[in-house]
Amino acid sequence: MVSDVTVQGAIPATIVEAAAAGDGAAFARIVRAHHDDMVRVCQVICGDPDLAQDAAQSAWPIALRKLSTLRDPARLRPWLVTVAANEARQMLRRQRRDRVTSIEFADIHSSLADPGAHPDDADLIAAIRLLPPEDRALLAMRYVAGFDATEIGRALGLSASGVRTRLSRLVSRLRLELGDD
Amino acid sequence: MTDHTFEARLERVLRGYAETAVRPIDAAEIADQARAAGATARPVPAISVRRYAWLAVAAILIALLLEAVFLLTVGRRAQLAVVIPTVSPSGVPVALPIEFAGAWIADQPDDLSFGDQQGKARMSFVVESNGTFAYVSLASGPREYLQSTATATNDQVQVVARALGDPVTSGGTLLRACDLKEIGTYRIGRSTDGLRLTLSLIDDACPSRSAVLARTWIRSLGAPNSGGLGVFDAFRPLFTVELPVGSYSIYRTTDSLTVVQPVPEFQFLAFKDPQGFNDPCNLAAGRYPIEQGADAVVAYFRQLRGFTVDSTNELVVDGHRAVRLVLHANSDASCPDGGLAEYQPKAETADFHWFLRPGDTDSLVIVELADATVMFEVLPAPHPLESSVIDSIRFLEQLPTTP
Repeated sequence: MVSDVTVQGAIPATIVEAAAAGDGAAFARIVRAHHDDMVRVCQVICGDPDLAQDAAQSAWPIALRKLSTLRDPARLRPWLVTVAANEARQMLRRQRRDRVTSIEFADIHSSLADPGAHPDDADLIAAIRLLPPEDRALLAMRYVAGFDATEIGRALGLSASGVRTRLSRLVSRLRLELGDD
Repeated sequence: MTDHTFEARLERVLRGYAETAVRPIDAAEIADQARAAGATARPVPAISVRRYAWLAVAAILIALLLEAVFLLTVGRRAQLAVVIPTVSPSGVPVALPIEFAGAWIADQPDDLSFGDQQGKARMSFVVESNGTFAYVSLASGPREYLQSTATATNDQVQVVARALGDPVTSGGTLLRACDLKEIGTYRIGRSTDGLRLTLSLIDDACPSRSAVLARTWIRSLGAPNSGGLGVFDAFRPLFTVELPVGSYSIYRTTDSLTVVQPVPEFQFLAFKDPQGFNDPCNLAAGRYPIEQGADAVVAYFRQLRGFTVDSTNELVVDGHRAVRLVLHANSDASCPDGGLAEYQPKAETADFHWFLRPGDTDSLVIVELADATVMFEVLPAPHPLESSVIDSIRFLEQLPTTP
């Protein structure tokens, strides 16, 4: 069973409005509810936990400044994740820390300590990390944040059909690189 | 490997990889930093060198003014800093241990109200995951009433107000708000099953704080938590359940609550009064009404296009008849969006729903109560801990503040 995660964990509109109006407690509650989601997406894009935390944290001042422009509070989560994803990509460009060839296999294996984990998961992560940041953002938004094609299109400035096409090609490419075709 | 299998693996691996960056945070601190950064990020107009001196003086005056305004406004709202210490045999104050992190709930007494609050709501005493920050909130609104930093020593917790608070009315008496940095000390009592946290007043100069904190609180699994025994308060009836020790996020919608641990993957889902869909590929075709009872849910899935019922087994959950329904979405079934819609709680008014990808399996436990049908699932299905988790469920008439 899978839930429609695009609407999961919704913060009540009253909290969003209060935060936009300057209520620090309300804004802290939004941070509490969504920071981890933002970090997860940033991690897939950056491939570095420290950088992912930095990107998510640097997204909050931007989010606070622009919160009053968010017309539909129900879209808070995708909106915040998009802000964080953009910040992660900017941070990669600024800091030139996209060390795609430096893959810490031990960390990957320890982080995937799921008894049911497939033995060659590290190969899949290695293949993901070799993708351009824009493609990693696409994967993160679809498979980590759980956005549908329309939501991803809104975030990345693509059409929904364009998102589906790119995702399909990406998955095919990963399968090909892993010899899974 | 099929497309769907590979995508499922991709999702699992990506979620596990993403989880490696998640760490405990201090949300209030991040919010404060964001506000500070926002203030400094505003465009600064060009100025002449001659005006620097005047600008410096003005900046100092403005800073002093802002600080005063902050203390009088924001500060007043962010009440008591509760430093709740972990039990420390050495007597050295420490942060609250991980088992205290999360939300502890209590019904708001009829004779207790916060500020100008209208009506009553369930109260939550929330301890953030770093164990040093706590506050009280109400289910009816976003306000955090008792923002605190907490430390524990031996069997005591010390709370210190981070800012001025709101007055509280208790038993018809208006109790003054806490002053900044006002300290209170409470004895910690924890039931052996971990379900109850009793804060007993030792000393507190702030009467409004003691009127709120000094009571028995019940561990809630309706907020980020570390597993164990707790109350699910997503809908009525409430129930307790014991989850494996872990690190859980929560997703709450109308009459549903899901706790999720990405790595190793574990989810526990609870829903009330499931309703189906006429077309699993098209929500616009309308809801399929499911009557009360487990048999009606089974009958719905038997007729639903794209699904196959694999088995049904009779169970008893906390004395109530239940049916374990195992089903799967057919491998050759497909919808344009990829997943086949299954159901949503009856009270849900938005499009929020659950779906199954082709080839995936569900193991649903449907419990018949006097006035509701409640459904549970442990994921990934079938899960070896399913029966122990389901067996631990106990339905409640009210919060179990007494053993």
